[in-house]
This record gives sequence, structure tokens and C-alpha cells, in this order.
Amino acid sequence: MAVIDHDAQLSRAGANVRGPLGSLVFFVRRYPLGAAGALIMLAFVGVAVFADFIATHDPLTTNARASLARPGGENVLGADFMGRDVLARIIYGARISLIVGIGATALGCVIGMAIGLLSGFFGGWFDLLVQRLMDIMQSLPLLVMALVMAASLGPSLTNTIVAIAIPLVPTVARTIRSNTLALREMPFVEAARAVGMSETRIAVQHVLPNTLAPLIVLATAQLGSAILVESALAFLGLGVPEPHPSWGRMLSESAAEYVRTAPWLVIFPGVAISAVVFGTNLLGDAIRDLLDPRQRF
Amino acid sequence: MQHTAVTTETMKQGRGTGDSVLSVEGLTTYFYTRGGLVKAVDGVSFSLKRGEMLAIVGESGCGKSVTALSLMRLVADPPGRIVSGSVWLGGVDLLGLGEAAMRAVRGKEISMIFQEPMTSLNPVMTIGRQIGEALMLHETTSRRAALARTIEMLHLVGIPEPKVRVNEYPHQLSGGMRQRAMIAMALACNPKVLIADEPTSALDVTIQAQIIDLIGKLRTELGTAVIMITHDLGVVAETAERVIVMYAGRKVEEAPVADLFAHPRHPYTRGLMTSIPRLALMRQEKTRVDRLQEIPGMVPALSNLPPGCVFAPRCAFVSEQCRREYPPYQEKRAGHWASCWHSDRLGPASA
Repeated sequence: MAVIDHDAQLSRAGANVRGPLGSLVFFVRRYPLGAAGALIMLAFVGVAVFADFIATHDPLTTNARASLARPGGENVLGADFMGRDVLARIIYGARISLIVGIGATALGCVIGMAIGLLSGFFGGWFDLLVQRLMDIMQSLPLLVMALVMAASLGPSLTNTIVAIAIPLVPTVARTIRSNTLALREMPFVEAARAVGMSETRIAVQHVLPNTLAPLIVLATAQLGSAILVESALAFLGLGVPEPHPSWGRMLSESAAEYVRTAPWLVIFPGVAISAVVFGTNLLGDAIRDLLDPRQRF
Repeated sequence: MQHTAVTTETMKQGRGTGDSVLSVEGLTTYFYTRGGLVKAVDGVSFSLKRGEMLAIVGESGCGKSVTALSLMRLVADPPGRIVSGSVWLGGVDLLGLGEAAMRAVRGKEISMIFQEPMTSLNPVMTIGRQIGEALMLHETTSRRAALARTIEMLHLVGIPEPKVRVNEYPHQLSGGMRQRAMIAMALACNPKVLIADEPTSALDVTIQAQIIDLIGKLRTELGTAVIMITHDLGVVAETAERVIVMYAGRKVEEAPVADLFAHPRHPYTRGLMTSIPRLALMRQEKTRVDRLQEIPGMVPALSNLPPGCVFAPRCAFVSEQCRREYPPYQEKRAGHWASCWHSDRLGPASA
């Protein structure tokens, strides 16, 4: 039988991980793809937050002489028809994507969580009524639902967030509800009753925290699709209105007319969208593995 | 009518004397299920003295856990419902209390520990916080005072390094340690009554004895009366002062522990005792190859009980009378009650 290197096995299992830096190194080694995703997300958030310092151009200033400038030179990633710098617009576009993505996901998760918890823990007519409503909402695809919402609410940043958040609610509510249904039968809920806790308190203090792990996993996954839906809405002219630069609208402005003559107008925003969505998915997978205790040993 | 006679006699027995801390009278809990009416607890009465250890024994499904849950008013409704009876604790009938008033009693006056220590603690909360929450529900103390009391409780239940353990999560503790933490949580507010529902069934044999000893020790130190629900007669013999034997939702026998083991007055109790494997017996009587005794048949479905004595279909002493009429609950010897037509035909326990 082969000789087993116990030290190597132990360090693989993370036995000698010390301090935050050690944990970080361990995470990177254990989940290289997740670390890559985290890096992409970190870069994305960094760019969005520090857009003012990073961008060399103003994203809104037009410049007739730079119209459809090729990448390289003054405009690193080229310029659009109105001579606006593509790089600057992507950098500021990250801000919109981040605000809409995180805003919509957070809003959707909070509403969905409240509904799921009420529905699953207390049940009754509320559960019946709300779940049928969720059924109706889920019979429409996320994008179609968001389209209808955005079209009826009218274009604005807040409305875009709401339009994307509402269609996320059924998924979150369903997940939390099913988790809650399992959790409320757990002996520790009975034990909490036996020490005299009220039902509301049990729901908030004992059941809710136990649903957070699946919620975090769900939220990271939904962040990607929220950003994607924002782009799609913008592409269809229903997203965040001008003059805010949005990746989706950058695509839509250029796709039809310039895809052959000035492909950089389509390629770079497209890459930005894909990279961020890819990053959220990689990170989401790693977080799911990390939060699932059965995967930890 | 026979039934009325039974009730009055059980009532007399149940009301208890002045020093009883808990008095249960005619407790009846039914479950309304698709399969019909399940009489899980049928007219059970008993009383508990201050600091006493009372054991309730019986097979799975005999109604002992439902009795415990009924005392706590934790029977899930639907399908369950406490149909009648009263549970007197400190001059108050718990069955008459509103839900909010009952919450104030749970954990404060009457506490319960459960069979599954592995899942009876919230996995995402430190044990210190869980015990502290239980404390702060009933006593207006600061977080700091609650923490100090929690550490004291953990020390009392024999958890080593309580100052460290208080910040640990349930998965960091072993099964025995978790059950100790559960006991600490149940006793944090110094309740008058502790119900232990098979507290050792899910534990290792070596740990079982430790937990049983601990409950016994705390009972004497804190003066808490304990209702020990178990199917393990070994646990009963070691710890209890008085024993109630339940069968098919009814109390069939009640006696001081030594008396019960020496002279069981109900065939079911005797059956339970003879079905325990005995090492000594096996060693001494090498000549006789004894088969382990068993009680033939199965516990009847609680939704479809036989008309006479519920044990009749499995009983070796069964007569025509048993099948017709439920035997009255009578005092067969001083302090030894049983409901059987043929108690006098039962000799002393075979071992």
C-alpha cells in the first residue's frame, strides 16, 4: 500500500489554516474557480465604486472628431457614433449594473423571504392565496415578467430595480417556504416552544437564520440574472433611461447599425456583461459548496 | 356503570395531597385522523410531589409522550386535542390558561427535555445564546447577567470549560454534551417540574448512565420534581421513586418502584419485566435454555380498541370478564394501584 503523507492530507483538509489570510489562501486553493469569480466580482465592484477615479474620459461628453474612433490611441476601447469613450461608458455602466443588480436582488430577496417565511411557518389561507399568486407569476419567464413590469412602470432607475425585483420574488419565496416547512418540524423548534417562546419569535429567531444559507446561494445566482435582465431591458429600450450609460443600451444603440463597421461598440459591452454574469455564477457555486456543511470536512 | 366507578376512583387517587406540586386529573387527549379517532391518552390521572422522581413507562405508542406534550400543552392541533381533564400546577389549571399565559409557564414553571439532543438545539445559534434567550424570556435580566447565569448552569450540568463552551455551536458538542446543554436550558429558570421524554434513548450506553445520574443529582440539588418518560425499565429501577405503567393510552398500574418490581399487579407490567434479558439468570441456570420472554401480539391500534380490557388480546390470564368489561382501577396493596381483574393470580415477579 502506498505511503500516505499525513501532513499533506491534513493541510489539504485545512487543518493548519490560521487567521484571515490563511483562510483566504485556503479558499483560493480549495475553490480556484470560486476565487476567480470573487476576483471578477471584486474588480467589478471596485470599478463601479471608483469610476470617477478610473475613467480617463467623461462618459457623457460627445466629441464629433472621435466619432466611431477605433480602439487604441486616445480612446482605448474606441468611441461610439457620438464620439463618447467606450471604456468610460463601460466603467460608469458598471455602476448602473451594480446598483440595479444588487438593488433588485436585495429587494426581491427581502420580499420573497418575508412571504416565504409567513407562508411556510404560519400556513393557512395566507399560504394558499400567496402561493397561487406565485404560481401565476412563475408561469411567465423572468424576462417577460420584467418587461411587462418595466413597460407599465415607465423607465427610471427605481422602476427598473422594482421591475427586476418583483419577478425574482416567487423563486425566493418558494425556496424559503420549502426550507421553512422542513425547519418548523425540527425538534429545536419544539424545544423553543417548550421554553415558552412565541410563534413569531420562533419564526424570526430560530427558523429565519437557518434559511439564510440557501438564501445567500440563491441571491448570488440571482445577481447574475438580474444584471442580465437589466441589460436585456436596456437593450429593448425599457431600462435605465439616458443619459446614464448602461451596458445593455450600449449594445442596442450599436447592434443594428455598427456591428459590421465598428464591432468594438458591441464586443466590449458584451464582454463586460458576460464576465460579470460568469463571475457571479462561479462565486455562487463556491459559496454554495462552502455553506453546505456536508461538503465541509 | 363500571366506567363511572373507574373515573371516581382515579380522581381520588389523582387529586393528591397538599404537598403535590403537579396534579393531573382525567387527562384525555384525542387525535382526529383520517384513520379515525385515536385515543392517545385516555383519562390519565396522577400527582407529583415536590422534588419527586416519577417514571412513566410503556411501549412505543402507549401515549407516554403525548401525556408529556399534553402537560406542556404542546400537542399539535390539528390533529390532536386535549379533550378533557385538568393539570394543576401551583394552584392553576394549565388546561384553562390562554396561549400567552401558557407561554409564561413553559420553561418557567414546567420544562421539558427531548429525546433527540442532536437536533433539539438550533444549529446556527451558540448554546450560550440559546440558554440565555430562554432565561431572558422569563426573567428580566441583562444580557450580561444572563450570560453569567448560563455559564453557571453549564458548570452545574457538568460541561467542562463552560466559559469556552458557551460560545460554541451545537455541532461542536457531542451528543451527551448537547443533552447536558438541553438540561441546562430546561432548568435555567428553576422550574418546579421537569419532564424528561426519553432523555437517553438517542445516547450511547455509557453516556446514558451519566445523564441519568445528572438528572438525579440536579433533582436533589434544585428540588425539581421530575417526570421521567422511558421504555427502559433499567432507568426506572435506578432512578424513580414511583412508576406509572401505561398501556394503549391508559394508566394500567402505579406503584412505588421497589413494590412494582417485586409484585407487579398487572400482567402487562410483568410481561415488560420478563422481556428484559438478564445476564445473571442466563449464567446461573445453564441447564435450562431459556428463551427470552416476550409479550405476544402487538399494541392494539389506538383508533380501534377492544371493548373490555385493552390488554386482553395479549394477556395470558385473560378471562371472559376481561373481554367484556374494563377492569376497575383499584388499590391492590397499600399505595399499589392496578387495573386488572386477575391481579391476585399474578405471583411475585419471576426474577
